[in-house]
Amino acid sequence: MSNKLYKGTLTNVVLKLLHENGRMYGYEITKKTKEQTNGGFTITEGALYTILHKLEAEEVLEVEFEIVDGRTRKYYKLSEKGEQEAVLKIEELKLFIQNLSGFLNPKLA
Amino acid sequence: MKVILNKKQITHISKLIEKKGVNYYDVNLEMTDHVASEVEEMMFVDGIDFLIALKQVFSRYGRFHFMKIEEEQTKKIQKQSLKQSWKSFVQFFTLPKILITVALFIFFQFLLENGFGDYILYTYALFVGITSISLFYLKRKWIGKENYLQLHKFHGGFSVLFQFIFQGMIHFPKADIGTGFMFDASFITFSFMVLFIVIEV
Repeated sequence: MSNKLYKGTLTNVVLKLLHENGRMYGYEITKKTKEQTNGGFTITEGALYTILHKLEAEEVLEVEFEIVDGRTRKYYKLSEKGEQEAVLKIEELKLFIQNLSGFLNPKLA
Repeated sequence: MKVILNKKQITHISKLIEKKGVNYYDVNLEMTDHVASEVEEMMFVDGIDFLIALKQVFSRYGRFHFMKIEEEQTKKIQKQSLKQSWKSFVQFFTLPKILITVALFIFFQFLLENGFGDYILYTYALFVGITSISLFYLKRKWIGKENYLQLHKFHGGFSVLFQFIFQGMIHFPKADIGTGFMFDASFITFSFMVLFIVIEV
């Protein structure tokens, strides 16, 4: 599937995952996305970390460092501001898919 | 049983990532953990050796993979740094700080005009020096290891402050010649302004 279609929704996907799972680290996010979409949706590391760092700078995400298996792991979680934004974005995403589905299948809508 | 990489293997990954151009400590930590997690899983699922798994992971990333993340991080830091510097600068303009600055200016000008130039040079250098060094160590303790942006900004502020001390030593001996009074009093006062901004009091 075209990568361009994914690009616009990547931030929403990250926000949704963090909203559902609490705190997560980078590799966990890529793995979870792959699992939940049966491999149909793959986030590249470059795109993922760009989004995570941008959301961190915008204070949508908060970070925590922890030593796991002998190395430092950076965890991301939604800030208070991020929680509100995540709920809004998930609703937006649902509405978008609903509208798109209505457009593609006019008879069902 | 789950595979866990040893310290030597983690260091090897970290150095490889550094060679690929990732110089930010926190980004390197994050990338090392990501690569290590992926390698561990490959070793566990496919039953392959560490070096083979590592090679496969790196070949999948491509040549510019880490550079892109590094570039984005630089952009983020520049943006945050600019935002922070502006915030610190704006914070200076409160009535008590302005009043203290004006009072300091008048005080220093009075001392310089009355021939205390050489005398206050050492007091000034000692004061700024001791304050800077003690604050530097204290703040490093407060900030903690993880907040590198803050530490970076703090280092920047102090390098400006130390410049003032050395510049002060050059300019002070001229304090007794005419217009030099005005310049040096403004100069000392300004160095205190920088101190206020750096420590964000």
